[in-house]
Amino acid sequence: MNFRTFSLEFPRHARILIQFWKTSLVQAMEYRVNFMLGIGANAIDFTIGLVQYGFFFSVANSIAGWQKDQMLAFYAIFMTIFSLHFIVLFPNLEAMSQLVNSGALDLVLTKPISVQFLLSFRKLSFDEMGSFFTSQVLLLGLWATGRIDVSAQNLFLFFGALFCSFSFVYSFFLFLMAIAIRIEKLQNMAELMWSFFTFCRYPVDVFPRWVRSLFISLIPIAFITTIPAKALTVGVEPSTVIWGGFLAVVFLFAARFFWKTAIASYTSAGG
Amino acid sequence: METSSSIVTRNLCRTFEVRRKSEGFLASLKGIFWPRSNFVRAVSGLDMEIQTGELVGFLGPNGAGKTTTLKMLSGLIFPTSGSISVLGFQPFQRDYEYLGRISLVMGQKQNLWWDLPPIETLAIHREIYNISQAEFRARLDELVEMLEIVDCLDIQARKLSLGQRMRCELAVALLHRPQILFLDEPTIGLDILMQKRVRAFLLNYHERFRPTILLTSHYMEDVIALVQRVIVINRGLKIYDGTLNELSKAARLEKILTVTFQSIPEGFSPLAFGKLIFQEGPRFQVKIPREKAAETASNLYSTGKVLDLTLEEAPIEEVLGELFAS
Repeated sequence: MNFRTFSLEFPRHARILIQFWKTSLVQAMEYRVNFMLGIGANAIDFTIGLVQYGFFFSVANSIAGWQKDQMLAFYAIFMTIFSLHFIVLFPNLEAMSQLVNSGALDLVLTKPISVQFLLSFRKLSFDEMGSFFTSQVLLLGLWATGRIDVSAQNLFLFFGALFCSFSFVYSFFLFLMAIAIRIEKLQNMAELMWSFFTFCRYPVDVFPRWVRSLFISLIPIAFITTIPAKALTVGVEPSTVIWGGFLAVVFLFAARFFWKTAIASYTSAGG
Repeated sequence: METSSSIVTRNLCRTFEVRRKSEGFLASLKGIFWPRSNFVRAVSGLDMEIQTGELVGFLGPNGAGKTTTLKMLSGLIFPTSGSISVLGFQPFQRDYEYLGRISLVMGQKQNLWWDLPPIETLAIHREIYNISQAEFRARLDELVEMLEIVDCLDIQARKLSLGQRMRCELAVALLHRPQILFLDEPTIGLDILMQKRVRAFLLNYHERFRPTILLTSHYMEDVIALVQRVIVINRGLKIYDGTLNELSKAARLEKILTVTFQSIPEGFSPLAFGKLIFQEGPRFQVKIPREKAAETASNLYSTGKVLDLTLEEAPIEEVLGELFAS
Protein backbone atom coordinates (compact mmCIF):
# COMPACT_ATOMS: atom_id res chain seq x y z
CA MET A 1 0.00 0.00 0.00
CA ASN A 2 1.54 3.35 -1.03
CA PHE A 3 1.10 6.60 0.92
CA ARG A 4 -1.74 7.86 -1.28
CA THR A 5 -3.71 4.63 -0.94
CA PHE A 6 -2.98 4.63 2.78
CA SER A 7 -4.33 8.17 3.26
CA LEU A 8 -7.45 7.29 1.23
CA GLU A 9 -7.99 4.03 3.06
CA PHE A 10 -7.17 5.28 6.57
CA PRO A 11 -10.69 6.52 7.52
CA ARG A 12 -12.27 3.23 6.42
CA HIS A 13 -9.65 1.19 8.27
CA ALA A 14 -10.14 3.36 11.39
CA ARG A 15 -13.90 2.69 11.27
CA ILE A 16 -13.27 -1.04 10.86
CA LEU A 17 -10.84 -0.99 13.77
CA ILE A 18 -13.40 0.74 16.02
CA GLN A 19 -16.02 -1.83 14.99
CA PHE A 20 -13.59 -4.67 15.79
CA TRP A 21 -12.76 -3.18 19.18
CA LYS A 22 -16.44 -2.71 19.97
CA THR A 23 -16.90 -6.36 19.09
CA SER A 24 -13.99 -7.30 21.36
CA LEU A 25 -15.66 -5.40 24.18
CA VAL A 26 -18.95 -7.19 23.51
CA GLN A 27 -17.00 -10.46 23.55
CA ALA A 28 -15.38 -9.57 26.88
CA MET A 29 -18.82 -8.75 28.28
CA GLU A 30 -20.03 -12.21 27.31
CA TYR A 31 -17.72 -13.47 30.06
CA ARG A 32 -18.24 -10.73 32.63
CA VAL A 33 -16.85 -12.56 35.68
CA ASN A 34 -13.68 -13.52 33.80
CA PHE A 35 -13.38 -9.90 32.65
CA MET A 36 -13.66 -8.47 36.18
CA LEU A 37 -11.31 -11.12 37.61
CA GLY A 38 -8.79 -10.31 34.87
CA ILE A 39 -8.80 -6.61 35.70
CA GLY A 40 -8.50 -7.39 39.42
CA ALA A 41 -5.63 -9.86 38.88
CA ASN A 42 -3.82 -7.31 36.76
CA ALA A 43 -4.06 -4.60 39.37
CA ILE A 44 -2.76 -7.06 41.99
CA ASP A 45 0.12 -8.11 39.71
CA PHE A 46 1.06 -4.46 39.31
CA THR A 47 0.97 -3.88 43.05
CA ILE A 48 3.17 -6.93 43.74
CA GLY A 49 5.76 -5.53 41.33
CA LEU A 50 5.60 -2.24 43.17
CA VAL A 51 6.07 -3.94 46.55
CA GLN A 52 9.12 -5.78 45.12
CA TYR A 53 10.75 -2.46 44.28
CA GLY A 54 9.85 -1.28 47.78
CA PHE A 55 11.82 -4.24 49.22
CA PHE A 56 14.83 -3.54 46.97
CA PHE A 57 14.99 0.07 48.07
CA SER A 58 14.60 -0.78 51.74
CA VAL A 59 18.13 -2.28 51.59
CA ALA A 60 19.74 -0.12 48.87
CA ASN A 61 19.62 3.57 47.90
CA SER A 62 19.96 2.92 44.18
CA ILE A 63 20.08 0.09 41.65
CA ALA A 64 22.73 0.51 38.94
CA GLY A 65 22.53 4.27 39.41
CA TRP A 66 18.73 4.46 39.41
CA GLN A 67 17.17 6.23 42.41
CA LYS A 68 13.90 5.01 43.90
CA ASP A 69 11.61 7.54 42.16
CA GLN A 70 13.38 7.06 38.83
CA MET A 71 13.00 3.34 39.24
CA LEU A 72 9.28 3.72 39.94
CA ALA A 73 8.94 5.82 36.77
CA PHE A 74 10.85 3.10 34.92
CA TYR A 75 8.47 0.49 36.32
CA ALA A 76 5.41 2.55 35.27
CA ILE A 77 6.81 2.89 31.73
CA PHE A 78 7.67 -0.81 31.55
CA MET A 79 4.15 -1.71 32.68
CA THR A 80 2.62 0.73 30.18
CA ILE A 81 4.42 -0.91 27.26
CA PHE A 82 4.06 -4.41 28.68
CA SER A 83 0.30 -4.00 29.27
CA LEU A 84 -0.27 -2.35 25.89
CA HIS A 85 1.38 -5.38 24.35
CA PHE A 86 -0.98 -7.64 26.27
CA ILE A 87 -4.01 -5.48 25.46
CA VAL A 88 -3.38 -5.09 21.72
CA LEU A 89 -0.72 -7.40 20.33
CA PHE A 90 -0.72 -10.60 22.39
CA PRO A 91 -4.40 -11.54 21.79
CA ASN A 92 -3.79 -11.14 18.07
CA LEU A 93 -0.61 -13.23 18.22
CA GLU A 94 -2.59 -15.95 19.97
CA ALA A 95 -5.47 -15.66 17.49
CA MET A 96 -2.99 -15.94 14.62
CA SER A 97 -2.04 -19.43 15.74
CA GLN A 98 -5.70 -20.43 15.69
CA LEU A 99 -6.26 -18.81 12.29
CA VAL A 100 -3.32 -20.56 10.66
CA ASN A 101 -4.02 -23.97 12.16
CA SER A 102 -7.75 -23.94 11.40
CA GLY A 103 -7.26 -22.53 7.91
CA ALA A 104 -9.58 -19.61 8.74
CA LEU A 105 -6.76 -17.30 7.62
CA ASP A 106 -7.97 -18.10 4.10
CA LEU A 107 -11.17 -16.17 4.72
CA VAL A 108 -9.32 -13.20 6.24
CA LEU A 109 -7.09 -12.98 3.18
CA THR A 110 -10.09 -12.60 0.88
CA LYS A 111 -11.28 -9.40 2.58
CA PRO A 112 -10.68 -5.98 0.98
CA ILE A 113 -8.62 -4.70 3.88
CA SER A 114 -4.96 -4.55 4.88
CA VAL A 115 -4.32 -8.05 6.20
CA GLN A 116 -1.40 -6.86 8.33
CA PHE A 117 -3.59 -4.21 9.92
CA LEU A 118 -6.50 -6.55 10.47
CA LEU A 119 -4.45 -9.35 12.00
CA SER A 120 -2.34 -7.03 14.15
CA PHE A 121 -5.08 -5.04 15.84
CA ARG A 122 -8.47 -6.67 15.43
CA LYS A 123 -8.65 -8.11 18.94
CA LEU A 124 -8.28 -6.29 22.23
CA SER A 125 -7.91 -7.88 25.61
CA PHE A 126 -9.77 -5.52 27.93
CA ASP A 127 -9.10 -7.49 31.07
CA GLU A 128 -5.41 -6.49 30.78
CA MET A 129 -6.36 -2.84 31.26
CA GLY A 130 -5.83 -3.03 35.04
CA SER A 131 -2.03 -2.79 34.69
CA PHE A 132 -2.24 -0.05 32.09
CA PHE A 133 -4.39 2.28 34.15
CA THR A 134 -2.54 1.67 37.43
CA SER A 135 0.78 2.43 35.72
CA GLN A 136 -0.67 5.71 34.37
CA VAL A 137 -1.83 6.60 37.87
CA LEU A 138 1.67 5.89 39.22
CA LEU A 139 3.35 7.98 36.52
CA LEU A 140 0.97 10.90 37.01
CA GLY A 141 1.34 10.58 40.79
CA LEU A 142 5.16 10.78 40.53
CA TRP A 143 4.89 13.85 38.32
CA ALA A 144 2.14 15.59 40.35
CA THR A 145 4.02 15.17 43.63
CA GLY A 146 7.20 16.52 42.05
CA ARG A 147 9.14 13.28 42.55
CA ILE A 148 10.11 13.38 38.89
CA ASP A 149 10.85 16.72 37.32
CA VAL A 150 9.93 16.74 33.64
CA SER A 151 11.27 19.47 31.34
CA ALA A 152 9.72 20.23 27.94
CA GLN A 153 12.80 18.83 26.16
CA ASN A 154 12.69 15.64 28.23
CA LEU A 155 9.00 15.25 27.49
CA PHE A 156 9.66 15.69 23.78
CA LEU A 157 12.49 13.12 23.84
CA PHE A 158 10.34 10.80 25.95
CA PHE A 159 7.60 10.70 23.33
CA GLY A 160 10.22 10.18 20.62
CA ALA A 161 11.72 7.30 22.61
CA LEU A 162 8.24 5.91 23.29
CA PHE A 163 7.55 5.87 19.54
CA CYS A 164 10.80 3.90 19.03
CA SER A 165 9.79 1.53 21.81
CA PHE A 166 6.38 0.77 20.27
CA SER A 167 7.99 0.39 16.84
CA PHE A 168 10.48 -2.20 18.12
CA VAL A 169 7.82 -4.17 19.98
CA TYR A 170 5.55 -4.09 16.94
CA SER A 171 8.39 -5.14 14.60
CA PHE A 172 9.21 -8.11 16.79
CA PHE A 173 5.51 -8.98 16.95
CA LEU A 174 5.22 -8.79 13.16
CA PHE A 175 8.28 -11.04 12.72
CA LEU A 176 6.60 -13.63 14.94
CA MET A 177 3.30 -13.33 13.04
CA ALA A 178 5.18 -13.91 9.78
CA ILE A 179 7.02 -16.90 11.25
CA ALA A 180 3.64 -18.29 12.37
CA ILE A 181 2.46 -18.24 8.75
CA ARG A 182 5.61 -19.98 7.58
CA ILE A 183 5.85 -22.69 10.22
CA GLU A 184 2.12 -22.98 10.98
CA LYS A 185 2.78 -23.37 14.70
CA LEU A 186 3.02 -20.50 17.13
CA GLN A 187 2.99 -21.63 20.75
CA ASN A 188 6.76 -21.17 21.22
CA MET A 189 6.68 -17.86 19.36
CA ALA A 190 4.38 -16.34 21.99
CA GLU A 191 6.81 -17.55 24.67
CA LEU A 192 9.68 -15.90 22.78
CA MET A 193 7.82 -12.60 23.07
CA TRP A 194 7.55 -13.20 26.81
CA SER A 195 11.34 -13.80 27.11
CA PHE A 196 11.93 -10.64 25.14
CA PHE A 197 10.04 -8.66 27.78
CA THR A 198 11.98 -10.30 30.60
CA PHE A 199 15.08 -8.43 29.39
CA CYS A 200 13.11 -5.17 29.47
CA ARG A 201 11.92 -5.53 33.06
CA TYR A 202 15.08 -3.94 34.49
CA PRO A 203 17.19 -1.02 33.22
CA VAL A 204 19.96 -2.17 30.85
CA ASP A 205 22.41 -0.52 33.29
CA VAL A 206 22.18 -3.65 35.46
CA PHE A 207 23.90 -5.66 32.70
CA PRO A 208 27.69 -5.74 32.02
CA ARG A 209 29.05 -3.00 29.75
CA TRP A 210 29.35 -5.17 26.61
CA VAL A 211 25.75 -6.42 26.93
CA ARG A 212 24.59 -2.83 27.40
CA SER A 213 26.40 -1.76 24.22
CA LEU A 214 24.80 -4.65 22.36
CA PHE A 215 21.34 -3.67 23.63
CA ILE A 216 21.79 -0.08 22.45
CA SER A 217 23.58 -0.56 19.15
CA LEU A 218 22.25 -3.80 17.62
CA ILE A 219 19.50 -5.54 19.60
CA PRO A 220 17.32 -2.60 20.65
CA ILE A 221 16.34 -3.89 24.11
CA ALA A 222 17.43 -0.60 25.71
CA PHE A 223 14.98 1.36 23.59
CA ILE A 224 11.98 -0.59 24.84
CA THR A 225 11.94 0.73 28.42
CA THR A 226 15.31 2.06 29.61
CA ILE A 227 15.70 4.93 27.12
CA PRO A 228 12.08 6.20 27.44
CA ALA A 229 12.37 6.06 31.25
CA LYS A 230 15.73 7.83 31.19
CA ALA A 231 14.37 10.44 28.76
CA LEU A 232 11.56 11.24 31.15
CA THR A 233 13.47 11.22 34.45
CA VAL A 234 17.07 12.29 33.88
CA GLY A 235 17.12 13.10 30.16
CA VAL A 236 19.06 11.50 27.30
CA GLU A 237 21.15 12.82 24.44
CA PRO A 238 18.94 13.65 21.43
CA SER A 239 21.40 11.63 19.31
CA THR A 240 20.42 8.50 21.28
CA VAL A 241 16.75 8.98 20.38
CA ILE A 242 17.66 9.77 16.76
CA TRP A 243 19.68 6.53 16.59
CA GLY A 244 16.71 4.70 18.11
CA GLY A 245 14.42 6.28 15.50
CA PHE A 246 16.73 5.16 12.71
CA LEU A 247 16.89 1.60 14.07
CA ALA A 248 13.10 1.59 14.57
CA VAL A 249 12.47 2.52 10.93
CA VAL A 250 14.94 -0.17 9.76
CA PHE A 251 13.24 -2.78 11.97
CA LEU A 252 9.75 -1.77 10.81
CA PHE A 253 10.72 -2.02 7.14
CA ALA A 254 12.48 -5.35 7.68
CA ALA A 255 9.47 -6.76 9.56
CA ARG A 256 7.09 -5.50 6.89
CA PHE A 257 9.22 -7.09 4.16
CA PHE A 258 9.38 -10.38 6.06
CA TRP A 259 5.60 -10.28 6.58
CA LYS A 260 4.89 -9.63 2.90
CA THR A 261 7.17 -12.49 1.90
CA ALA A 262 5.40 -14.81 4.34
CA ILE A 263 1.96 -13.84 2.99
CA ALA A 264 3.17 -14.33 -0.59
CA SER A 265 4.46 -17.80 0.26
CA TYR A 266 1.32 -18.77 2.18
CA THR A 267 0.08 -22.12 0.92
CA SER A 268 -3.03 -22.46 3.08
CA ALA A 269 -4.10 -25.67 4.79
CA GLY A 270 -5.26 -28.64 2.71
CA GLY A 271 -6.65 -28.40 -0.72
CA MET B 1 -9.75 -12.25 -23.21
CA GLU B 2 -13.51 -12.13 -23.84
CA THR B 3 -15.46 -9.45 -22.06
CA SER B 4 -18.43 -11.70 -21.29
CA SER B 5 -16.22 -14.16 -19.42
CA SER B 6 -15.93 -13.49 -15.70
CA ILE B 7 -13.31 -16.16 -15.08
CA VAL B 8 -10.57 -17.15 -17.51
CA THR B 9 -7.57 -19.35 -16.76
CA ARG B 10 -4.91 -20.36 -19.24
CA ASN B 11 -2.45 -23.16 -18.64
CA LEU B 12 -2.83 -22.67 -14.89
CA CYS B 13 -0.39 -24.68 -12.78
CA ARG B 14 0.31 -24.91 -9.09
CA THR B 15 3.03 -27.02 -7.52
CA PHE B 16 3.49 -27.54 -3.77
CA GLU B 17 6.58 -28.63 -1.93
CA VAL B 18 5.56 -31.42 0.42
CA ARG B 19 7.72 -32.44 3.37
CA ARG B 20 8.27 -36.18 3.78
CA LYS B 21 8.95 -37.86 7.11
CA SER B 22 9.66 -41.50 7.78
CA GLU B 23 8.34 -43.27 10.83
CA GLY B 24 10.15 -43.26 14.19
CA PHE B 25 12.24 -41.07 16.46
CA LEU B 26 15.54 -41.36 14.56
CA ALA B 27 13.83 -40.47 11.30
CA SER B 28 12.28 -37.43 13.00
CA LEU B 29 15.69 -36.38 14.33
CA LYS B 30 17.25 -36.84 10.90
CA GLY B 31 14.39 -34.83 9.39
CA ILE B 32 15.34 -31.80 11.47
CA PHE B 33 18.82 -31.60 9.93
CA TRP B 34 18.23 -33.16 6.51
CA PRO B 35 14.61 -32.52 5.63
CA ARG B 36 13.25 -34.51 2.71
CA SER B 37 10.62 -33.11 0.42
CA ASN B 38 9.22 -33.57 -3.02
CA PHE B 39 7.08 -31.51 -5.34
CA VAL B 40 3.45 -32.29 -5.99
CA ARG B 41 1.65 -30.76 -8.92
CA ALA B 42 -1.84 -29.93 -7.60
CA VAL B 43 -3.09 -28.18 -10.74
CA SER B 44 -1.64 -28.90 -14.14
CA GLY B 45 -2.30 -26.71 -17.19
CA LEU B 46 -5.92 -25.85 -16.40
CA ASP B 47 -7.79 -23.94 -19.13
CA MET B 48 -11.18 -22.72 -18.05
CA GLU B 49 -13.60 -20.03 -19.11
CA ILE B 50 -16.75 -19.16 -17.18
CA GLN B 51 -19.30 -16.68 -18.49
CA THR B 52 -20.80 -13.92 -16.36
CA GLY B 53 -23.79 -15.18 -14.38
CA GLU B 54 -23.04 -18.88 -14.96
CA LEU B 55 -23.41 -21.42 -12.15
CA VAL B 56 -20.75 -24.05 -12.76
CA GLY B 57 -20.01 -27.22 -10.86
CA PHE B 58 -16.33 -27.91 -10.31
CA LEU B 59 -15.98 -31.61 -9.64
CA GLY B 60 -13.30 -34.12 -8.92
CA PRO B 61 -12.23 -36.69 -6.33
CA ASN B 62 -10.32 -35.72 -3.17
CA GLY B 63 -6.93 -34.24 -4.03
CA ALA B 64 -7.97 -33.47 -7.61
CA GLY B 65 -6.99 -29.80 -7.28
CA LYS B 66 -10.44 -28.23 -6.90
CA THR B 67 -9.78 -26.30 -3.69
CA THR B 68 -6.30 -25.28 -4.88
CA THR B 69 -7.91 -23.81 -8.00
CA LEU B 70 -10.50 -21.96 -5.93
CA LYS B 71 -7.73 -20.60 -3.72
CA MET B 72 -5.84 -19.33 -6.76
CA LEU B 73 -9.00 -17.76 -8.19
CA SER B 74 -9.75 -16.00 -4.92
CA GLY B 75 -6.19 -14.68 -4.57
CA LEU B 76 -5.20 -16.79 -1.58
CA ILE B 77 -2.26 -18.44 -3.28
CA PHE B 78 -0.06 -17.67 -6.25
CA PRO B 79 -0.11 -19.86 -9.33
CA THR B 80 3.26 -21.45 -10.15
CA SER B 81 2.68 -20.63 -13.81
CA GLY B 82 -0.08 -19.78 -16.26
CA SER B 83 -2.54 -16.91 -16.13
CA ILE B 84 -5.78 -16.08 -14.33
CA SER B 85 -8.20 -13.28 -14.99
CA VAL B 86 -11.27 -12.86 -12.81
CA LEU B 87 -13.44 -9.84 -13.63
CA GLY B 88 -10.37 -8.53 -15.43
CA PHE B 89 -8.23 -8.69 -12.27
CA GLN B 90 -5.27 -10.88 -11.43
CA PRO B 91 -6.50 -12.35 -8.14
CA PHE B 92 -3.10 -12.84 -6.48
CA GLN B 93 -2.52 -9.08 -6.59
CA ARG B 94 -5.29 -8.88 -3.98
CA ASP B 95 -6.62 -5.58 -5.26
CA TYR B 96 -9.21 -4.23 -2.79
CA GLU B 97 -11.61 -3.55 -5.65
CA TYR B 98 -11.34 -7.18 -6.70
CA LEU B 99 -11.70 -8.58 -3.19
CA GLY B 100 -14.76 -6.37 -2.71
CA ARG B 101 -16.44 -8.09 -5.63
CA ILE B 102 -15.88 -11.73 -4.69
CA SER B 103 -16.76 -14.02 -1.86
CA LEU B 104 -15.38 -17.36 -0.77
CA VAL B 105 -17.49 -19.75 1.26
CA MET B 106 -15.74 -22.82 2.63
CA GLY B 107 -17.98 -25.39 4.23
CA GLN B 108 -15.33 -26.36 6.75
CA LYS B 109 -14.09 -22.89 7.69
CA GLN B 110 -15.96 -20.06 9.28
CA ASN B 111 -16.23 -16.31 9.08
CA LEU B 112 -18.43 -15.99 12.13
CA TRP B 113 -16.92 -14.93 15.45
CA TRP B 114 -17.35 -17.99 17.60
CA ASP B 115 -18.28 -16.26 20.85
CA LEU B 116 -20.54 -13.63 19.33
CA PRO B 117 -23.97 -13.57 17.71
CA PRO B 118 -23.85 -13.47 13.87
CA ILE B 119 -25.25 -9.93 13.87
CA GLU B 120 -21.88 -8.72 15.27
CA THR B 121 -19.95 -10.41 12.45
CA LEU B 122 -22.39 -8.89 9.96
CA ALA B 123 -21.80 -5.43 11.48
CA ILE B 124 -18.03 -5.88 11.00
CA HIS B 125 -18.56 -6.92 7.40
CA ARG B 126 -20.72 -3.85 6.83
CA GLU B 127 -17.67 -1.72 7.73
CA ILE B 128 -15.21 -3.86 5.77
CA TYR B 129 -17.28 -3.59 2.60
CA ASN B 130 -18.25 0.03 3.22
CA ILE B 131 -21.99 -0.58 3.06
CA SER B 132 -24.25 2.29 4.16
CA GLN B 133 -26.51 1.70 7.15
CA ALA B 134 -29.69 1.87 5.06
CA GLU B 135 -28.32 -0.50 2.43
CA PHE B 136 -27.08 -2.84 5.16
CA ARG B 137 -30.56 -2.95 6.71
CA ALA B 138 -32.22 -3.65 3.36
CA ARG B 139 -29.76 -6.38 2.34
CA LEU B 140 -29.84 -7.97 5.76
CA ASP B 141 -33.65 -8.10 5.80
CA GLU B 142 -33.59 -9.71 2.37
CA LEU B 143 -30.99 -12.34 3.31
CA VAL B 144 -32.61 -13.06 6.65
CA GLU B 145 -35.89 -13.73 4.88
CA MET B 146 -34.33 -15.87 2.14
CA LEU B 147 -32.19 -17.88 4.55
CA GLU B 148 -34.78 -18.00 7.33
CA ILE B 149 -32.31 -16.96 10.01
CA VAL B 150 -34.31 -14.37 11.89
CA ASP B 151 -34.07 -16.42 15.10
CA CYS B 152 -30.32 -17.03 14.81
CA LEU B 153 -28.93 -13.50 14.54
CA ASP B 154 -28.71 -12.76 18.25
CA ILE B 155 -27.50 -16.15 19.47
CA GLN B 156 -23.78 -16.85 19.99
CA ALA B 157 -22.40 -18.61 16.89
CA ARG B 158 -21.07 -21.49 18.97
CA LYS B 159 -24.60 -22.21 20.22
CA LEU B 160 -26.09 -22.48 16.73
CA SER B 161 -26.62 -25.78 14.96
CA LEU B 162 -24.37 -26.57 11.98
CA GLY B 163 -27.23 -25.81 9.57
CA GLN B 164 -28.01 -22.47 11.22
CA ARG B 165 -24.31 -21.57 11.23
CA MET B 166 -23.95 -22.39 7.54
CA ARG B 167 -26.92 -20.22 6.65
CA CYS B 168 -25.49 -17.36 8.74
CA GLU B 169 -22.13 -17.90 7.00
CA LEU B 170 -23.91 -17.46 3.68
CA ALA B 171 -25.52 -14.24 4.90
CA VAL B 172 -22.08 -12.90 5.89
CA ALA B 173 -20.54 -13.97 2.58
CA LEU B 174 -23.32 -12.42 0.49
CA LEU B 175 -23.84 -9.19 2.40
CA HIS B 176 -21.73 -7.20 -0.08
CA ARG B 177 -23.50 -8.74 -3.10
CA PRO B 178 -20.43 -10.36 -4.65
CA GLN B 179 -20.30 -10.67 -8.42
CA ILE B 180 -18.30 -13.87 -8.08
CA LEU B 181 -19.05 -16.52 -5.52
CA PHE B 182 -16.69 -19.39 -4.85
CA LEU B 183 -18.50 -22.13 -2.94
CA ASP B 184 -16.27 -24.87 -1.59
CA GLU B 185 -18.49 -27.69 -0.32
CA PRO B 186 -21.17 -25.46 1.18
CA THR B 187 -23.38 -28.36 2.27
CA ILE B 188 -20.70 -30.56 3.82
CA GLY B 189 -21.78 -32.13 7.10
CA LEU B 190 -25.38 -30.90 6.86
CA ASP B 191 -28.32 -33.27 7.19
CA ILE B 192 -30.40 -34.00 4.10
CA LEU B 193 -33.13 -31.51 4.98
CA MET B 194 -30.66 -28.71 5.58
CA GLN B 195 -28.77 -29.56 2.37
CA LYS B 196 -32.06 -29.10 0.50
CA ARG B 197 -32.69 -25.73 2.14
CA VAL B 198 -29.21 -24.48 1.31
CA ARG B 199 -29.60 -25.68 -2.28
CA ALA B 200 -32.99 -24.02 -2.61
CA PHE B 201 -31.52 -20.79 -1.26
CA LEU B 202 -28.58 -20.88 -3.67
CA LEU B 203 -30.87 -21.45 -6.64
CA ASN B 204 -33.16 -18.64 -5.54
CA TYR B 205 -30.22 -16.29 -4.88
CA HIS B 206 -28.63 -17.04 -8.24
CA GLU B 207 -31.91 -16.48 -10.06
CA ARG B 208 -32.44 -13.16 -8.31
CA PHE B 209 -28.94 -11.63 -8.44
CA ARG B 210 -27.19 -13.63 -11.20
CA PRO B 211 -23.70 -13.80 -9.63
CA THR B 212 -21.14 -16.04 -11.31
CA ILE B 213 -20.86 -19.12 -9.09
CA LEU B 214 -18.20 -21.80 -9.07
CA LEU B 215 -19.28 -24.66 -6.83
CA THR B 216 -17.36 -27.66 -5.59
CA SER B 217 -19.21 -30.44 -3.84
CA HIS B 218 -18.94 -34.13 -3.17
CA TYR B 219 -22.72 -34.36 -2.93
CA MET B 220 -24.08 -35.21 -6.34
CA GLU B 221 -27.51 -33.92 -5.25
CA ASP B 222 -25.93 -30.44 -5.07
CA VAL B 223 -24.57 -30.78 -8.58
CA ILE B 224 -27.75 -32.15 -10.09
CA ALA B 225 -29.96 -29.59 -8.37
CA LEU B 226 -27.82 -26.53 -8.97
CA VAL B 227 -25.71 -26.67 -12.12
CA GLN B 228 -26.10 -27.24 -15.82
CA ARG B 229 -22.43 -27.08 -16.67
CA VAL B 230 -19.67 -29.03 -14.97
CA ILE B 231 -15.91 -28.94 -15.15
CA VAL B 232 -14.33 -32.15 -13.97
CA ILE B 233 -10.70 -32.34 -12.93
CA ASN B 234 -8.60 -35.22 -11.76
CA ARG B 235 -4.97 -35.09 -10.57
CA GLY B 236 -4.89 -31.43 -11.55
CA LEU B 237 -5.95 -32.09 -15.13
CA LYS B 238 -9.24 -31.08 -16.71
CA ILE B 239 -10.95 -34.18 -18.01
CA TYR B 240 -14.38 -32.83 -18.88
CA ASP B 241 -16.04 -29.47 -19.50
CA GLY B 242 -19.64 -29.40 -20.67
CA THR B 243 -23.25 -29.80 -19.64
CA LEU B 244 -24.28 -32.31 -17.06
CA ASN B 245 -26.51 -34.06 -19.62
CA GLU B 246 -23.69 -34.40 -22.13
CA LEU B 247 -21.45 -35.77 -19.39
CA SER B 248 -24.02 -38.47 -18.72
CA LYS B 249 -24.31 -39.33 -22.39
CA ALA B 250 -20.59 -39.20 -23.05
CA ALA B 251 -19.49 -41.22 -20.10
CA ARG B 252 -22.39 -43.55 -19.42
CA LEU B 253 -21.89 -46.76 -21.26
CA GLU B 254 -24.78 -48.43 -19.54
CA LYS B 255 -28.43 -47.83 -18.72
CA ILE B 256 -30.48 -49.19 -15.86
CA LEU B 257 -33.41 -51.32 -16.93
CA THR B 258 -36.07 -52.21 -14.38
CA VAL B 259 -38.73 -54.68 -15.45
CA THR B 260 -41.67 -56.17 -13.55
CA PHE B 261 -43.39 -59.23 -15.07
CA GLN B 262 -46.93 -60.48 -14.53
CA SER B 263 -45.28 -63.90 -14.55
CA ILE B 264 -41.67 -64.57 -15.39
CA PRO B 265 -41.43 -65.78 -19.03
CA GLU B 266 -40.16 -69.31 -19.48
CA GLY B 267 -36.41 -69.47 -19.98
CA PHE B 268 -35.92 -65.81 -18.99
CA SER B 269 -32.45 -65.07 -17.68
CA PRO B 270 -31.53 -61.47 -16.78
CA LEU B 271 -27.85 -62.31 -17.29
CA ALA B 272 -28.57 -62.67 -20.99
CA PHE B 273 -29.20 -58.90 -21.14
CA GLY B 274 -26.58 -57.48 -18.82
CA LYS B 275 -25.38 -57.29 -15.21
CA LEU B 276 -28.04 -58.13 -12.61
CA ILE B 277 -28.38 -55.45 -9.92
CA PHE B 278 -31.19 -57.08 -7.95
CA GLN B 279 -34.15 -59.43 -8.19
CA GLU B 280 -37.28 -59.34 -6.02
CA GLY B 281 -39.80 -61.94 -7.18
CA PRO B 282 -40.94 -60.97 -10.69
CA ARG B 283 -39.03 -57.62 -10.51
CA PHE B 284 -35.53 -57.41 -12.01
CA GLN B 285 -33.04 -54.58 -12.33
CA VAL B 286 -30.16 -54.95 -14.78
CA LYS B 287 -27.41 -52.78 -16.20
CA ILE B 288 -27.40 -53.05 -19.98
CA PRO B 289 -25.18 -51.57 -22.71
CA ARG B 290 -26.59 -48.21 -23.86
CA GLU B 291 -26.72 -49.28 -27.55
CA LYS B 292 -28.78 -52.37 -26.73
CA ALA B 293 -31.31 -50.58 -24.48
CA ALA B 294 -34.06 -50.03 -27.07
CA GLU B 295 -33.74 -53.49 -28.59
CA THR B 296 -33.81 -55.19 -25.17
CA ALA B 297 -36.92 -53.26 -24.10
CA SER B 298 -38.67 -54.19 -27.34
CA ASN B 299 -37.77 -57.88 -26.93
CA LEU B 300 -39.10 -57.91 -23.38
CA TYR B 301 -42.38 -56.25 -24.39
CA SER B 302 -42.77 -58.83 -27.15
CA THR B 303 -43.07 -61.59 -24.52
CA GLY B 304 -46.46 -60.05 -23.60
CA LYS B 305 -45.76 -60.55 -19.89
CA VAL B 306 -44.34 -57.15 -18.94
CA LEU B 307 -46.28 -55.26 -16.27
CA ASP B 308 -43.92 -52.35 -16.02
CA LEU B 309 -40.61 -51.39 -17.66
CA THR B 310 -38.36 -48.36 -17.11
CA LEU B 311 -35.05 -47.32 -18.60
CA GLU B 312 -32.94 -44.88 -16.55
CA GLU B 313 -29.56 -43.25 -16.78
CA ALA B 314 -26.92 -44.58 -14.39
CA PRO B 315 -26.39 -42.37 -11.28
CA ILE B 316 -24.00 -39.43 -11.82
CA GLU B 317 -21.75 -40.72 -9.00
CA GLU B 318 -21.10 -43.84 -11.04
CA VAL B 319 -20.50 -41.79 -14.17
CA LEU B 320 -17.91 -39.69 -12.39
CA GLY B 321 -16.41 -42.77 -10.83
CA GLU B 322 -15.92 -44.24 -14.29
CA LEU B 323 -14.47 -40.97 -15.55
CA PHE B 324 -11.94 -40.79 -12.72
CA ALA B 325 -11.05 -44.45 -13.11
CA SER B 326 -10.37 -43.98 -16.81
